[in-house]
Amino acid sequence: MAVAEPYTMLLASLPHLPAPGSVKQLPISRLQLKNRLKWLTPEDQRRLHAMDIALHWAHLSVDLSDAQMLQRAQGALEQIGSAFLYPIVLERLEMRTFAAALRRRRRNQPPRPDEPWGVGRFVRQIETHFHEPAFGLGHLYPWIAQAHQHLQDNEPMALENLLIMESWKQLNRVDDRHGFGFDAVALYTLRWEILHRFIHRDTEKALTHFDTLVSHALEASPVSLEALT
Amino acid sequence: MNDLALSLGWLGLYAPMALGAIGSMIGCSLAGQAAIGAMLETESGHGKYLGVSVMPSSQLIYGIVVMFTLNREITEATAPGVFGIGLLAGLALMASAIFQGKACASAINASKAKPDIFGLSLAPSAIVEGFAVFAFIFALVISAGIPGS
Repeated sequence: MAVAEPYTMLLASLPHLPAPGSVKQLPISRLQLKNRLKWLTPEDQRRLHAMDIALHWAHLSVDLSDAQMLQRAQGALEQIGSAFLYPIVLERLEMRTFAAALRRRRRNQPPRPDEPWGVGRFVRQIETHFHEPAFGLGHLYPWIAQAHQHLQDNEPMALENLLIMESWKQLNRVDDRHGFGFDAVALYTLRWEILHRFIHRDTEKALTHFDTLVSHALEASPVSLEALT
Repeated sequence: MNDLALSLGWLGLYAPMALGAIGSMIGCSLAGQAAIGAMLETESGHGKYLGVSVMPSSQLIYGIVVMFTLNREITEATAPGVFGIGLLAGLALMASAIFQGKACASAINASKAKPDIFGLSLAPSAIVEGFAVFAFIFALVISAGIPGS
């Protein structure tokens, strides 16, 4: 008789996360969420961190090669240690692989046979059906053809929205919200990250762009940042 | 053999109370943790969360009543009946308390996000309670057949 529900209080203390587009503000801030996640055991915190490494790349240096990024993600994926979460995280990485392939096709830059460029079960399938709109997987992933169309029409925001909504739908399909174990906590954080990305997508993009411009400007300037402070 | 039968008789006599208590402890603890978590997140309705979290305590009361109903002189003639009814009633009460606790925790968590479903969300817990009542009533009915009552 399984009675292990270690995170009942933690999960009950987290607010409901509505679907992207239905709210303009996050129901719980990153700081509040971080404070609540301190209730996780050290082992589960490590697993959550592994999931974070596998999925969140925005803060990584642009100097990292595709091979290094993939190695980093694959290594983290192996450390998640949950048969329930592994396919969810893998599917998210596969979604990025599809997005990367669509962008490569737009640039007419098919992956070389020896080049590590994607993660998951469909890398070879994409390579062999590179010029088909949905890589021959339209029956499994109807959104790929839609994403292809957004790229063709030069609609980056529509593409971003599509990817966010597909990620959200994927989590809805496997939702385990009535459980009170680590998997439910991990699912909550994944949903929170998606909602956060949706709500802050413009701001973050602008900030990233601003940071890049500042870095370039400082690199080009003869005056160092240290000299100014 | 005689000593073993008598020991099992005593075990069966105390089992509904002890197993019911174990189930109620676990069930109330699960539902109580959900209630405390919900209190951190919400500004009102704390009383109803606490009220729901004590629902799995009824199994202990049923267990005490079954124990007193089974209470008679433990002999070679009465021990098998007391053991069988007491142990199985205790296991049923324990399982129902634990699973009712889980159902209550889910009800608290769901009604926190959507307060208008509070009543409906309690239906699964009430059904689990119904099964505990069945186990309790029929333990009382069957125990009348054990000699020495």
